[in-house]
Amino acid sequence: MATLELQGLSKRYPDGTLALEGLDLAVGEGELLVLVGPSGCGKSTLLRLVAGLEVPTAGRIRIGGRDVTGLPPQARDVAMVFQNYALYPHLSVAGNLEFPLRMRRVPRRERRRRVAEVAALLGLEALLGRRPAELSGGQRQRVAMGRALVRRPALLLLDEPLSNLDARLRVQLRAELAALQRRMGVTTVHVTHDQAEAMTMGHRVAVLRAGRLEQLGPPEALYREPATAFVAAFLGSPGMNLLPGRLHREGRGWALEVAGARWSGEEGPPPAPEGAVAVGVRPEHLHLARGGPGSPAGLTLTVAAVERLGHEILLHALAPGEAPAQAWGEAVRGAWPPTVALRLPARERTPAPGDRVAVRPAGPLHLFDPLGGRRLAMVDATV
Amino acid sequence: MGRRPGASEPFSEEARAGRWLTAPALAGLLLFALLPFLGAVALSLTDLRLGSPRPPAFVGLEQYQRLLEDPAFLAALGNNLLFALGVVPVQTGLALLLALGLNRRFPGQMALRTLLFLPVVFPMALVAVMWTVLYAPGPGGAVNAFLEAVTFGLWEPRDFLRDPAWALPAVMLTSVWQGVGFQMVVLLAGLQAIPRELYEAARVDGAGPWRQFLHVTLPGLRNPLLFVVLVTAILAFRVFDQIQIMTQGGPGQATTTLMYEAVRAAFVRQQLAQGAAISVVLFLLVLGLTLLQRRLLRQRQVLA
Amino acid sequence: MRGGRALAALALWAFALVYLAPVAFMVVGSLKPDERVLTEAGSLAALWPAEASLQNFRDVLRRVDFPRYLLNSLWITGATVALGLVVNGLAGYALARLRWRGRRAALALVLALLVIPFEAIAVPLFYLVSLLGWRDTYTVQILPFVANAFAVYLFYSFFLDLPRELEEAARVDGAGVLRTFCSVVLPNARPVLATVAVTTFLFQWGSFLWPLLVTTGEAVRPLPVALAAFQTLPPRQWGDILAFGVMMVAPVVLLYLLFQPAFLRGARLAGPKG
Repeated sequence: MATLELQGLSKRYPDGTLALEGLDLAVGEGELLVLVGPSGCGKSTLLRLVAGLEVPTAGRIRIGGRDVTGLPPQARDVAMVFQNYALYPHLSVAGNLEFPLRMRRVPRRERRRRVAEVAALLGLEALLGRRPAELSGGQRQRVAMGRALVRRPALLLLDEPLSNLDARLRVQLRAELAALQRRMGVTTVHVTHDQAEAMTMGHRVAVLRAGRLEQLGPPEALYREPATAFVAAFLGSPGMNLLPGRLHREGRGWALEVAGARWSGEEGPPPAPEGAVAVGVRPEHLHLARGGPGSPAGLTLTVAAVERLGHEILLHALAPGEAPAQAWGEAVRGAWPPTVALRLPARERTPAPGDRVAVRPAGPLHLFDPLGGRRLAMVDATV
Repeated sequence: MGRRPGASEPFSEEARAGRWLTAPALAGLLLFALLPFLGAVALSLTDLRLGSPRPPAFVGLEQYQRLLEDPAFLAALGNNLLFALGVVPVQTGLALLLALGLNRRFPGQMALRTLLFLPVVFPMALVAVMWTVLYAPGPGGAVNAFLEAVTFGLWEPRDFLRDPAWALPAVMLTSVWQGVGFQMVVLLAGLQAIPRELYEAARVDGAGPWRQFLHVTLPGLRNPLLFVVLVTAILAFRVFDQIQIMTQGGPGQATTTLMYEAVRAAFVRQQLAQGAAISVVLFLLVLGLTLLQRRLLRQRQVLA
Repeated sequence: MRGGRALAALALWAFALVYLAPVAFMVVGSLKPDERVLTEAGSLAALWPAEASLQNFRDVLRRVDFPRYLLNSLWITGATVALGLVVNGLAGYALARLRWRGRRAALALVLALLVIPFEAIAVPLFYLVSLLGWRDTYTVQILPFVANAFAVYLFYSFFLDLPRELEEAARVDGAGVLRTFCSVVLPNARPVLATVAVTTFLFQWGSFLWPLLVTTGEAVRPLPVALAAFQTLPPRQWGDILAFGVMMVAPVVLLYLLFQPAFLRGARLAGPKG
């Protein structure tokens, strides 16, 4: 068990791509930190740098206070679970579990004891004699976990450990993995592209984007108060809706114009500089307006698709309006044309595709800088 | 997801290991492949004779010029060409037929594959000796007797290896016999790599066996076929063992080959330089075929 | 359709019988009295020994030092195979996996040398080893064939296709470069090891041109050259010659039957990719 500190970590590949740029990050003892982000955001590179499989271009890596930046993997006391598990095909399950101990010259008797212990912990006793090829996906995953834990490493690195499993097993192992980590108390960095995994497993979650840390914090905090439009749209399923809007003074208060609708705020100065803003609202914070299409306060949308999930209904609808001006930043422009998702209770009478509906906000609105994507304010609008 | 690590800046441990692990192989290749090759080119530009006390002199392209006027060399080159023209289609065609036959299940299919590949493991020297016996002249010779039996007595026995018209074909048949199993296995692997769905799709589209062969099998076998054809052609230019043992180039110059001439020039006539020049010509021919092969096969980019 | 299949199978078997008749001829001939090898060659008796005896084999052992040739061939072939596996395997691994300066240049050299057929360098190589005073030795028959561009290439492409994660897992699990190679890479490289071993073995066991050039005496003479010499050794006794051939090929056939998959895979691996 140990802490992990990354300081100004950068990685540029020989072909010139910058995978990581000046990253600072600290993981506490026994913590499970989830690194999440889209493909190519640098999260796997980060893991490989910590493991010692790559050398950073700049920056330091400390494990338990010891600087390991220049050390080869075998001198770092880390363990890693690979996406495809990388079980040694020529060794039995027992042989795989024993391998890290053998490499570290643990005496035979001790090896046997530790293998038995970890096999019991993961329910692998009956499989010890089998070859990896004879195991199911879930069993292989457990063996990979066992091989990583048997050595009681200072640091456990998980590289998309669940992404090769089918959906049902993934959910089950997600909980198992988190429980196991808590029981062992091993400091863990878990890389995934699956935001649900990040939300459910992490003590803290780090969202990475294009080699930079976008936001770091407990999962609920990231969900509730995303620091950027990117984090807002990335977390949640579906993610936060982003709509181009305009903020201006109105009377003694302010108003927000979003795709033809006008929502006004309370008295007082506008919460952010007047002008263009990206307006974010979670799908569960949009309700169907009673007035139907045409009511001035309602945002009028055209239903594109309806997904009935049983316990709830997801509505995907298109907002009217023009494409955001060129001046709008990547973060927001990417969301055009603005498909708006609504999460509705199953009992609600559902509109059909092609219907026009009016919706109104029923929860906080997030205002983002349309250029940089930084969050400017969180407001409640009355309709 | 994360990028694959390319040739990034070396870990000192890996870099050290990399250099040490390749050193023996590189040393061997430089000393026993590159150096002799450069030596062949260099020697071919001199007039070096084995055992001559006179130091060799630089003669430019004279050796090559002499080769062009040397009937023995031209005969050898012609024989190699004939060899390629004869062996390539026969051996490829036969191998393809056998592979197609073996590509379906029937009793003893595996055993048959094992047996047909067997001659490939026979040393060429032994094959040459065996066939020398089989080609024995007169009606008592095995090949003569076989041909007489299958033509119902129409075949007139002859002395294959001493008959100017038959010596080369006889040697060619020997080579086909030894090598066809190899091509067969390559083509069989190619056939088995063609997805079954393609045949099913073709059948659904109404193609009969012949059209399936034309539109699924042949295109699917493109690379293996090209490989087999070009490798066989390359081997045809390297022929030596059979000639040395079966005919020694004769009768007359009916079966000499480039390699046989190179050895004769260098070691019988002691004209090492001329042997080297013939080697260089041989290399250029093989190089041409190899480049053609690489180009046609569009081999994957190995310089990762 | 079904009848057509049976017919095709039958035709294949018939072809195989004719095709392998020379092998039967050799084996049967080796068991017959010398003079009857040729006199019976034209009849079906060529393929059936009326009175089999091992006299020809005894004659071979009496007339020439067959065990010496056999040991020569075994030693030359065995040493080349063993050294070749180590030297070419390590080089292929370093080229495919390790990161070091000069890797690309070394790889380019190997690929370029693939093009040079041995025949094209036999003459100057002979001159080279003569200058070194190596003629009539085992070394001259082994050393030039240890490092082999094609073997390096086979290893290289095999290791390139091996999942890299296995080695990375081993590194993280605590193994250094060499230990990773020995305990994870090698155990999973059996197919390519077998293929390279088989191709090297067949090449050396059948090698004729080179030993013909570099050996003069019998001391280091390998089997193929010995066979060619025996064939012309008077009196020419065909039964003895065929017995020599049987003894020479028997070890290979035995190995082939035992390790058939490796032999066939050798042919397939040598073939084109995809």
